Amino acid sequence: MKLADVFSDLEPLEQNEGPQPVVQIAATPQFVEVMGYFRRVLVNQEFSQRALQLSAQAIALNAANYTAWQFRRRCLTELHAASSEEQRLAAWRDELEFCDEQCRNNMKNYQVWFHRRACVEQVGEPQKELQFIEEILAEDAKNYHAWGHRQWALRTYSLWADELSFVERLIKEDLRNNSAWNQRYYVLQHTTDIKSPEVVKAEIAFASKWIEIEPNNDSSWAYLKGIVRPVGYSAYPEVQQMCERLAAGALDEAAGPTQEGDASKICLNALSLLVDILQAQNTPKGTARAEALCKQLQRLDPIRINYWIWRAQQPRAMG
Amino acid sequence: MEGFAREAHRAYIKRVSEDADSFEYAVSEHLRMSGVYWAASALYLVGALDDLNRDDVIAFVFKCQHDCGGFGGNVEHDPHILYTLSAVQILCLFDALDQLDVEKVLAYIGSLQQPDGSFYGDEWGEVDTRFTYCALCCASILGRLDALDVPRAIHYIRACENFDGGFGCVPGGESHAGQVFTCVGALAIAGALEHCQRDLLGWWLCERQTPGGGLNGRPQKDADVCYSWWVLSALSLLERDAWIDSAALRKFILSCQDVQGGGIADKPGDEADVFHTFFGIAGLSLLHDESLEQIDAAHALPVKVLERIQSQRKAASD
Ligand SMILES: [Zn+2]
Repeated sequence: MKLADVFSDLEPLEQNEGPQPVVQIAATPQFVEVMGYFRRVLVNQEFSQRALQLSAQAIALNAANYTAWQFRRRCLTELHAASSEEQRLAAWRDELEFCDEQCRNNMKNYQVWFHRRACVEQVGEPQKELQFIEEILAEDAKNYHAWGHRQWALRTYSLWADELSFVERLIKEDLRNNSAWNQRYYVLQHTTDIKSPEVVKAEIAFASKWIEIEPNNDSSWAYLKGIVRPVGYSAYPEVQQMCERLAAGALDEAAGPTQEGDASKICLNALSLLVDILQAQNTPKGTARAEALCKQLQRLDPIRINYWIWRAQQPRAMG
Repeated sequence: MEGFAREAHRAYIKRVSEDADSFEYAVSEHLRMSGVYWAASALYLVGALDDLNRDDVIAFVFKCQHDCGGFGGNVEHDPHILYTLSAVQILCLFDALDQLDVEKVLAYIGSLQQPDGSFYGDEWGEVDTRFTYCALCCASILGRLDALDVPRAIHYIRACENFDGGFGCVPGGESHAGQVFTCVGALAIAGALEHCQRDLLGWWLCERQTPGGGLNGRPQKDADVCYSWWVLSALSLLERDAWIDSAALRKFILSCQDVQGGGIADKPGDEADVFHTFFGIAGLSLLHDESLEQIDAAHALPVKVLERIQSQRKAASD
């Protein structure tokens, strides 16, 4: 059925907007038609099945149209104000299915994820969400909205049980997946005492395992630092030992003039953490060594040379 | 290396602002308000605000205001805090704040603050530190931070701090340069920068510079012109902007220009858009490009505009 027939009782509402030449939107005739009727049902506050379908068309044309999403929620609520609980649930389940499709097609869109949350709250079957997010993350492992939605579901419905093993699986697939490292911290923060010696020791071992496999990975190093810095490096000498070992090659090379192209092989992260640890020791020997390392880093990491000059002058900066 | 193509950008912004036939214009219908802010700010920075018709713009802005005080992204669109900030910023640029019912706007923004200090984006309840920034920035521009519960807002931002010193959009959300800007910007506006770990966060931000000179938003991501603004403004508020290689960043931004057609793209070779054109120019302004007006890193408005508003407010209260 044609839109003009479905809405034969309504006059489309033309876009009336400035600034400057108030020209009609020329995109496509279909765009003009759908949006014309949609603006009309908005203004009329028509909460009907046909209006709901029309909003889906508006979303298909532009999923970032937040007004269309808001309209759907209001429309569903109004349509089922007097329905039985079963009918209401069925309608929101359908809406969640509509969301599945939209989330897949518009993974980076705020509105669709927020709408999804509203649907889950209505339907109340959160276990399915973890499975769904896993599918989304299989396509885009760092999708910010999918992760946010997952954390919301975990937290709201206490679904922590299998999350650490899920995260480890993702790290195995891509050890540079910063979102997965962040998620690991998030889970531990909510399920353990993250400053306790047992957790710190276990997480140092976990991060170190992945650092040994790939020493040039900002994410695993940031995680390691995030775990140990708050409790102090002095109680965990294994961190310094690992840094010394991984930095050793770099130290030899850095003694001579650096060659272009070699920089990628040098473990800047190990050197950088070594500076943190040595400066935190606050001994004349440690401070002097840290200063020498900063000098080398000025050469090895020239884009951040000013940072390393500054670090050399801050004996206790990051301890 | 090409220089800054001022005239081409100026022509480009004017063209896309007026060309209602363009694809970009059609799909950005819902955020026209922000589009106008990006265009007007970019033109102001290159000293050509008059390219836009002041009366038309102001009329459009007020057509988007709702009875609740909030502004929508376009005519007939629901009010949202994002577009409310853009609307207020546009009125500032055009020196038209006197036409605004300030109390009404403040009432709207205040109504979005939650007991935990966070802010909803609109009546539907999405929470994000971006909205905290919008609220504080708006109230600060209007000289009425007292209309919000600032200590609670600060408390919420602190809950969004991560182990790497960065910030996410909600507690637990991965650090992201865009969210770092909104949190640092909000703390700066609240006079509460002591609540972030300047050196740790400064390091995280300067790690965003890639070998090509551009900045990325998260580890392992590609450099993108819009992060020239998010990362650099945060670094500059933290007084750590000297830590990155400014010459390399400037070179990267300039390499994303469309020198003939005007405008700046997200990365070299891509098609230009108004969003990246504004953030590219704003980045160059923060890098102290002398041919550009200076921009304020916290409010994302020209320094001159903020100074004018302050002196007007002072004159009114004297
Ligand atoms: Zn971008």
